[in-house]
Amino acid sequence: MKKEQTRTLVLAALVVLVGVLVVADRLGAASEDDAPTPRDEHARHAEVVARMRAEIDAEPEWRDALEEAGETWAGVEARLIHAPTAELATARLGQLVRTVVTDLGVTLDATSAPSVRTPAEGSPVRIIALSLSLRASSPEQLNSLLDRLENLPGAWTNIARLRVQGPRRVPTSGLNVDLDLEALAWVGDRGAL
Amino acid sequence: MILPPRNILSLVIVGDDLHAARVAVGPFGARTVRAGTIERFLLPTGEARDAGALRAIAGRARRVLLTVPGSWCATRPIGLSTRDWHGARDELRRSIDRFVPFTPDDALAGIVTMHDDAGSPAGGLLVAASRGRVEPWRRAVEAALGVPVGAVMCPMTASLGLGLQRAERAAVLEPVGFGALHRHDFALGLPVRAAQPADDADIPAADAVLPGAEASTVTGCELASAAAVASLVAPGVFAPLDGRVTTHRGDWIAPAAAVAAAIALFISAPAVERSRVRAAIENLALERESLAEPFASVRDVRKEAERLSTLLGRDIAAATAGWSSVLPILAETQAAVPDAGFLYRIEIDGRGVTISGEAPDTPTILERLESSAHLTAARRAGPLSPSTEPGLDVFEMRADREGGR
Repeated sequence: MKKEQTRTLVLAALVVLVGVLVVADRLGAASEDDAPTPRDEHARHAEVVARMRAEIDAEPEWRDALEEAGETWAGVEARLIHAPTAELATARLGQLVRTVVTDLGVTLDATSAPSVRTPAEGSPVRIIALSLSLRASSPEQLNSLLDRLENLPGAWTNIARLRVQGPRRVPTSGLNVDLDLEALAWVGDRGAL
Repeated sequence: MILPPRNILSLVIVGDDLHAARVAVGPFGARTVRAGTIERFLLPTGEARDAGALRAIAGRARRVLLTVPGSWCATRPIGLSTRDWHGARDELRRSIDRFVPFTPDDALAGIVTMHDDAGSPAGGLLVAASRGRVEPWRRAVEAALGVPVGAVMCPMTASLGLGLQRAERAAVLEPVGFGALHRHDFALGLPVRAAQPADDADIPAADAVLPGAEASTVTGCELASAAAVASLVAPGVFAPLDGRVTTHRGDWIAPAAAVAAAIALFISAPAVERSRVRAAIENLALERESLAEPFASVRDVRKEAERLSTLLGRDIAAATAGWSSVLPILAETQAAVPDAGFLYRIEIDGRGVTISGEAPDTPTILERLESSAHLTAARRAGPLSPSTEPGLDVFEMRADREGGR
């Protein structure tokens, strides 16, 4: 065999070898399609870093939102009745009511059992309620009573139901008042605030 | 095949003239890039005439071949081939004056392997030239180019690059001085007979007549181009008078290296890519680490803002939806009753207000309740009956809270 032929054969063999390696590599790559490749891992890392950067870039907006929410919450939080339990919260509401009643000279005939509702599942915020039966001497006293109850210091209240009987034709007969007083309470650890 | 492309400056001395050709030899063949002739090249001072023109032709070529005239050469058949040449060269040169009319000190010697009709090596042709005649030209060329002459060839070996390989038989006539001609016969480009005396009668049958004769069919520049590729198209057939030419080993080195490089690249490509991706992942991990602290800070801020927003938007807003003061409704209800009337009962809840009492003009009460900013849909809730009091009616009415639950 001549040298030229030998050279051609050797080079052709090398080319075939490269071809075989390419085919083997492709087949190997195809069989590993399901396994995560380093490129997949890189893409995952890049995505995480991109999310972190986006979050960091949004810091001014979040700080503004926090400041606004914090100011609003501060006004709300000052009007919540804080207590470890709902019973203690309603007791504290009762104390506030009695203070008002005493101040105004209104007769408190009865206080029914308190009720407690949860406005949202899992929330520490409760709506505590007391049903009161009172006697007011005049419409003016009634108005003062209602005004004080709706603006109790340190409480966010609402009169959910009001029933007034009297004073009929003779004002001196007085007014019998039944009302349901609701208030917002924070029940539980204050550290959760 | 030669990788990468190589520029060769090939020079041929014909009489007093120097013919030059720059030939680019690459993987897909050779081509003459530039050629030209510098007449009366060698000045009496030993310097080159118009060295700038030579440099212009040379370009970036760093490989220079010089072909001397046949009249400067002497030949003699010898029982050696190119393969034997390297081992016998030194000994042969020491005793060269036994074969050709040059002293060992003055002789430049090379060899051409001859072949039989079957293409097998069959002895060789010793070719020699006088160093004293070549050196002035060599020095002038080297001084002009700043590049050493890599090889000195004779016209016969240069003619191997004339493209005679396609011809089954070819005859080349070479002027050897004083009007004499030598005939070289080739079979498929391989020399089979060389330095046979010839005369003008052989010219018509010749395939090529080298420059230097009146009937030349090959120009000096064409012979220069042929000399540049002679060692590539006839590898191992000759050894030059001086220096070295690219041998057949060169044909192997480039493609073999290219294939080896391709294999190496192929094998290493996945690893290199993995390495690069790993490095990129490490960079990302470092970046992630550097971002961890500010990210945690922002995340805390965001969580707190979201928590407070949830508290306000979901818990507090849901709890206080529909909460409003009863005092305005109470006041407007009381004001709706004329002075002559009075109320028995007022009931206010989340939906509206119900009142009952006695009054003289009950439609007015309805109108007043309806016109209230806090109430709507005022209506009677019970029968209207005369009171025991003259001029009064007993009534019961209801109105809905504006936007009530």
